[in-house]
Amino acid sequence: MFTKDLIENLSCGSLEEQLHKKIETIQKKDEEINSFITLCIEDAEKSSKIIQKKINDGSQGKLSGLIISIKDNIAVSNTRMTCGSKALENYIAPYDATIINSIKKEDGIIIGKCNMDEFACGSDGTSSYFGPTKNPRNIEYVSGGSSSGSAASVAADFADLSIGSDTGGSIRCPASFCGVYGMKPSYGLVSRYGVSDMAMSMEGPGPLAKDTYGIALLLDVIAGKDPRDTMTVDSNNSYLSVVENYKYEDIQNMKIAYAKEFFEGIDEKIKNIVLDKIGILESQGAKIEPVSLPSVKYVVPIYYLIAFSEFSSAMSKFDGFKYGYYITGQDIVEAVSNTRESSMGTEVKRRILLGTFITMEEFRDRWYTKALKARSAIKEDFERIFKTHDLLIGPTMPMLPPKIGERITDPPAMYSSDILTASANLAGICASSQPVGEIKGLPVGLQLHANSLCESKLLKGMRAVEIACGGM
Amino acid sequence: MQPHEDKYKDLNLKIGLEIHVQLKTEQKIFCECSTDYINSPPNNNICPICTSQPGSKPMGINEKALENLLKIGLFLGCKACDKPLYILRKHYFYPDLPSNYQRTSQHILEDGIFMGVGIWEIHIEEDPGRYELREGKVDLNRCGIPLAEIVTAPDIKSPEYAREFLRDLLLSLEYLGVIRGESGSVRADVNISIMGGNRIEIKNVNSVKGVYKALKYEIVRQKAVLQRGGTISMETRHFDEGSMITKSMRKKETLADYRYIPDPDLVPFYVSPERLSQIESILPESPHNKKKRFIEEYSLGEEIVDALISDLYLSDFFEESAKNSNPIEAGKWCATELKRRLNEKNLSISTSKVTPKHISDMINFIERGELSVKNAKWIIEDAVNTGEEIPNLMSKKNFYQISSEDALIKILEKVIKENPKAVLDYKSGNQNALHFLFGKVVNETEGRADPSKTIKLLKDKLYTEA
Amino acid sequence: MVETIIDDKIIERVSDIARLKLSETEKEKFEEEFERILKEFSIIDEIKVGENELYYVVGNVNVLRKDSESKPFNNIKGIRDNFNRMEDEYIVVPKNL
Repeated sequence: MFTKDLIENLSCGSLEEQLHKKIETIQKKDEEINSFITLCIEDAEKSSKIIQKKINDGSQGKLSGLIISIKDNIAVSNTRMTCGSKALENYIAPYDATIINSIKKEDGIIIGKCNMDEFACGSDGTSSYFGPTKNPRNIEYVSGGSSSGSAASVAADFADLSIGSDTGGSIRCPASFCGVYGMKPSYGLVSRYGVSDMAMSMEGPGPLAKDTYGIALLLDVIAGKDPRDTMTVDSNNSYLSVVENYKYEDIQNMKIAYAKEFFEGIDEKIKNIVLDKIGILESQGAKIEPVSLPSVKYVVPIYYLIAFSEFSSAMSKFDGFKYGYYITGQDIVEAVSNTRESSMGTEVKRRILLGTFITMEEFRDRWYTKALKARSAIKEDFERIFKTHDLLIGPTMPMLPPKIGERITDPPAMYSSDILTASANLAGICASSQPVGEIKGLPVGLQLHANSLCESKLLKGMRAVEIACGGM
Repeated sequence: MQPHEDKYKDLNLKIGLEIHVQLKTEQKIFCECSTDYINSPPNNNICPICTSQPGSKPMGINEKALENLLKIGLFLGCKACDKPLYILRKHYFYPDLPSNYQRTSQHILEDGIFMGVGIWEIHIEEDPGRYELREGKVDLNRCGIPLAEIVTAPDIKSPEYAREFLRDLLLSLEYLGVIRGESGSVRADVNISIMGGNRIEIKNVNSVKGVYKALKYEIVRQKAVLQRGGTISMETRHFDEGSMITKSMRKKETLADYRYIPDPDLVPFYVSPERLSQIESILPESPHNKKKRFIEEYSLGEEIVDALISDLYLSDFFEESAKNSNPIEAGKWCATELKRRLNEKNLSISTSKVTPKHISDMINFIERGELSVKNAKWIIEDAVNTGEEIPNLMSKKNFYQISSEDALIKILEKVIKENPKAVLDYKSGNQNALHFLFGKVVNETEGRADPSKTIKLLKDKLYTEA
Repeated sequence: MVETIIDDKIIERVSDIARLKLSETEKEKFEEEFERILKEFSIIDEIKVGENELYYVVGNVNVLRKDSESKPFNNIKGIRDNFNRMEDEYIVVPKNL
């Protein structure tokens, strides 16, 4: 287990050395990949000295000096927080997100803030005001998004672990494209306090790592009830032991479903790799069964209609008066309009306008209310499946990462890449992506779903797939 | 008929109020900042939540705020809405609203009544900050203070009654301990229509006096428009506290689509019947029950009772003074003269110096004939202002009345003896002579003779004096 | 289902409400895009829906917070440092005469 070994190394080696190695690598390679917007070298160095002392007397926290990168829509106090946008280019967060508090308490070292699609509006990592993030596996290709820098920094060895956020696939997509592990926890398991809003009823922060162990380790640290996020629920908080205690035989108790709708219209080569892995799991003793998810074809419209409306509400706070970019005007209306117009990118504007439109009096029943009613159908579909199955398996993305110049920029088509990932957000359940192969050097991701608050099942499934792929 | 209604009978006034009061709590509604923002320099009583920093989320609703709001609703005889309730986001852009949406709940209580005016609904919301329009300055200290919004039916029929209604409501809420009593802590939107016409809304009136003035002005203004042959169209106006007039708002500012959505960051809340009973059990007597009891226990008339019960401080005061004096008199004096004096001076029972003993003493003096009703009215004013004991005040003002027959007869006999011509004039049928003689008695007694007794005794004496 | 027609009046109104001052090219582009997006999304009309609008995926209800002594925030300076412009501790914004 890669991450476990890392920790062991740290406890006998020098934290400062490890940190400097990473910093060197970043300075050499990140100019090209562009996974960081802000580096926190000074703070990281300070932390490493303090944590080294704790390691020396055996009092270190769970994260033991592991190096962690943080998506730039999550507040780290006294550090720039841009959300990938000109609107917050010079905003210094005055507080720590709850999960950042937890990470610091457990002695994680925060090395920097990661690049991302502007305000999390995107699935390929190219819409940041600070330039696109390139895929470390092949820099001509996109890294995926919106947690593009998070996935890339782990893939490129700039960080041991990362925290991203997932609203419709924003952790799983870049994890799949960059060939790393990523998890979207159940809604309510991890506090959103300090994570900039995009679609409040669907999003949440989550871990990225090189293996299941790393995912479980970080999840243990960040999960749990928080009075600053009223949606949070109590956590089991022993996910690491689920992974550590997993035995090879446990696969025989797994009932895994696969939905044929998840395999329709996707790249043949991806299909084959995923089906192959499913075959291996079956040969190892898992019970594999086909199921139907008829609501899949409605996922994209339902997801986006709800996301647009929540996003337009979340974005109203940006008027330039209290923070961020500001252009004045004759009066308060003009000043705010000028400011917002000049500081936000096209996709952000598009979503604000659409969200405003569908919540207006005359249009809301037709679009907004309808989408909310339809959302129940998605949730019910999953509930039906999880009554009789532990996991749902399939590919993470319907296509391989496109080349940077060749990406789809036309709206309806662009949105459809979320078709396999967004349903988990609509239903609030947990899901993960892990690398299971590659095509012409580009990684292929396999996705698992488990029912809400069933992270233990999900992690066992991830471990099973990890072992099936020859992972340690 | 409502008091003061007859003054405006032909206008068919329909007045309704949307009253915002700050609920009394230690912390703000969605964060842990202090609610004592008035003592804080600008932008010093803030945190990431109430300034809407990117990533911030509201904490759970302040329980005390909700409890205080429920107390208000129960006191006003409302029924609670028996279903899970959402906090909604009401979107509009304004510099004093950091999120550019205001969090406001669905109706929590409905269908109450106070002073004969229907209470349509009560809900909870967060206070925005302060934006000084003319100076272009914003202070966010007030953001997130919990507010109760009380919406009345358009049952108020005069500006005078609106003033009384609001004044008594605020006094009672203060008595209940559920609102903050500092100035500036009540705001009202006022709705008025005259003669069945369109409704005019006047926004953000910041005082009880302002409500009265705004309504008086609107009535004059609307009547003038109608007289010139114009029509009143539905609109929103702004009240200018400085000039005490209402002004039209720019049309653009008034067109609003708030695009309400349930706040995705706040779970619904539910007020259970058990919780309500629990709160109801610790509330003081409701106006409804108090009215019944006052009528039965003290044999007071309905109008007097209505004037007493709407101000909880006043009704307590009355009951205290009725312990030591005739309750019917106590009720009458408290409901009319005392209340009037307090209102004139913008005082309340708790802020003036008058005590129940003042009233009971005063009534007892009147009953013994030592104080005339006319002078009693002055005594009340002094008591309200200075708080001095009644006997002292009576001495100072020389109000002690002579009404004992023996004392009066002695003086009468003296006056009759000293004014034989007047006596003769009266006996020959000159009524004026009686008044002349009475005037002499008044002089002798320095005005302290009980007038009616004196006249009666004079007549008797003159009649028997052959 | 009645088709929603997106015309420039609607785009104008929406951009007004959303406080986004769009250029002419932007307005045209968005008008055209919105028609297409909404046309594709109208597939949701096919779904048989119940009456329940699913706003929340967690079952939490009544998460109230006990009122207690206030806890002042420990980095008010950090918040104020981000204000666009301050004068006498007020945030300066355009006047509204």
